[in-house]
Amino acid sequence: MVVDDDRTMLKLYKILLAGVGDYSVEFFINGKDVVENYKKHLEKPKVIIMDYRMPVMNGLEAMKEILEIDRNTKIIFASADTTMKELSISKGATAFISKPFKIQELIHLINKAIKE
Amino acid sequence: MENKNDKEQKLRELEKRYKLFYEYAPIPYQSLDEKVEIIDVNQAWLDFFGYDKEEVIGECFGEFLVLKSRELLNSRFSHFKEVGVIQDVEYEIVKKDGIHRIIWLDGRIEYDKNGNFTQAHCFFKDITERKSIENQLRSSKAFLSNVFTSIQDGISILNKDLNIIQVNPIMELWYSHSMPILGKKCYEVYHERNKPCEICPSLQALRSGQPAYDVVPKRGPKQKITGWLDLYSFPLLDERDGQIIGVIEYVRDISVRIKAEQRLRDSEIKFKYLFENAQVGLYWSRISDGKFIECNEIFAKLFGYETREELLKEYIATEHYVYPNQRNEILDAIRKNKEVRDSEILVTKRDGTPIWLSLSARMSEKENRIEGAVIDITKRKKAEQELKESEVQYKKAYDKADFYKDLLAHDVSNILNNINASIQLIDLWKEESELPDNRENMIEIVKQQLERGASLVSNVRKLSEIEEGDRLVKSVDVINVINDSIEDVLSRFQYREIEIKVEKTNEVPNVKGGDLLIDAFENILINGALHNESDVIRIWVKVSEVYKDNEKFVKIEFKDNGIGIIEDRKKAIFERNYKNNRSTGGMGIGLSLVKTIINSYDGQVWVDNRVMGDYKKGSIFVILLKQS
Repeated sequence: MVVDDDRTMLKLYKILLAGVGDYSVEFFINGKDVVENYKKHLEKPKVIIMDYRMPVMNGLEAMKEILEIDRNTKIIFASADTTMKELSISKGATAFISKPFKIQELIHLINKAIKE
Repeated sequence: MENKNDKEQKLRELEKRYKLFYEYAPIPYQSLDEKVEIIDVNQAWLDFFGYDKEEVIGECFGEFLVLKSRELLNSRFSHFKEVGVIQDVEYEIVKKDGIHRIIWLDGRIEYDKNGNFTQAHCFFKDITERKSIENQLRSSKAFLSNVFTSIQDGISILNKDLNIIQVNPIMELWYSHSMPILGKKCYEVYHERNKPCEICPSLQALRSGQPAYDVVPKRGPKQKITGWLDLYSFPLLDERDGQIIGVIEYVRDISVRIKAEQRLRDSEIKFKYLFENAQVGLYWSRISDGKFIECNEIFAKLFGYETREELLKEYIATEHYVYPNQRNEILDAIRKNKEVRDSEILVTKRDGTPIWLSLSARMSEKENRIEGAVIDITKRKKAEQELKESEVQYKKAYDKADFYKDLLAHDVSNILNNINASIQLIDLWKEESELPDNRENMIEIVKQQLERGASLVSNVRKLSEIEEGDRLVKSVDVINVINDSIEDVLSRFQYREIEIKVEKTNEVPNVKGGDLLIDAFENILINGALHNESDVIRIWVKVSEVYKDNEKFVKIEFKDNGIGIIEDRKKAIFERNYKNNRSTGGMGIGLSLVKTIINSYDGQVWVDNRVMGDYKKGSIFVILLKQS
């Protein structure tokens, strides 16, 4: 699952993740949508790429709700605000990637999270 | 020689005279036999007791006495018989009417030739009144003596030569160091002087015959002043001839009072000094009407008066409260808490200038009086206000800086991130000739993000301009502005296929607007183009006249086939500025700028779904502008 309020970014995620592996990817534009969809899934996603600044529900709030359902969910926090790195990790994020990021680094973190 | 008959005749006449004397004598007489029974009484006796002779002859004299006297009678009568004479023997008798009287009995025993008792002759006098007077006199003397000795003020009686002839114990106590007192000169005892004092009320009373008064020092040993005395001197007159024979000095120790008065005077001086020289305004005013009763000069000057007299004459508190209820609130607070401290009130001076005062006060309802102290805090209040305004300005500046920082951190970062990711992907695909479409897509994204960045920069500048200056409102041909904005947007989105259609009803009147109206329209059009994933971007602009709240408006609707706006965000997209929530994300500040511009022209703007119930079918932005 990928959640980001910037649609262009979501479009780019869609293009670059197409080459990562044989996985299906779902895209959401705010925290509330991703939490609701997460709850509906019987088979939980291998990894979630989570933006921080989003309308309705921000990334930290969404992560908290998801981890309350399954504390082992792998969440990669992606934000331009580097001060979020420490906070997101302390709240349960698997990894943090600072925007703008290198595609290779993101792919590496995704693969690592899936393997763990 | 007188013959026997003549002698007998003379004796009979003498006996007759004595009998007459006995019968009519004004003094009660009784004769008693050996058993103390009455042999005879005279008329005075009967008149005194109120009996007839028949009722008393043969009765024991004791029957006419009170029990206590009766008990004494027998022993006294025995003694009487032995000595033959009694004088002033006191008995208490009971008259027929029950009234008690006290008598003094005199008597003589008559003996026969052989010296045997024949009868007792007794006269008595009624001494009841005399006894009563004596008792009263005795009581009075005792009373005066008690007063004289027990009174806690000093009493001293002097003769004409100022010799002390009598003093009460208090004087002896006060002048124990000069004992004995009696016989000495008053000035020797009381002042250790060898001549009369210069100021002496007793001398004055002796000379004038009138009472005199003065305060004199109370002296201890060696003339040391130990206190002060009120000395009242009354002339003492001879009862017989009214001549002055001396003086009665009534002396009261007023040392404590004098000290208290001195302390009070000192205290008054201090308080007067404090009152007049205090650096705060002090006042008394009436509760009932707010009239000032007393104040110091500082208080008067606070209100613009040169003197306190001027203020007391014309300034009425109730007429100078800027907030009239404030005085009642202060009074209620004092009634509740007995006082108020540091209450801040706003009043006006003599010339109407407002002045802030810090007031501490209490009041006495009984005396209809408020006592208060005030300090001028106008400067402080002004400084506080300036500080508050400065804080607001600072906060505004801080919020602005934070807002622009946020724009950089989020919006600019997203734009750069998108461009960065697009370029990275182009790089990845540069060796893969079979993916030209993707490369084209990436280039389009880069162009789009550059346009987004340009809009962002432009909007920041506009927003800043709007906040900093007043805008000129004028009559604007809205159709012209719409056409200009469409032309501009089309030129900026040449890489996308865009169709914009304008529909209008009849002639559209001018609206209240200004130079920034084109920016509002452009932002709505750009928003519709940027957030649009359709192959062909379609925007329909409809202009019409409407009535709302009895007012004519021009309504401009911008419908698009874009991605739409979910319900939760419909309001927030207009609110993104440095004052409000910034977490709208994704849509920049263009729509906030739209709202700011439209509101500045007294217009309204909102967004709905283009197709009711399905936000994904695109949006419809509605603007209402007042007709000019």
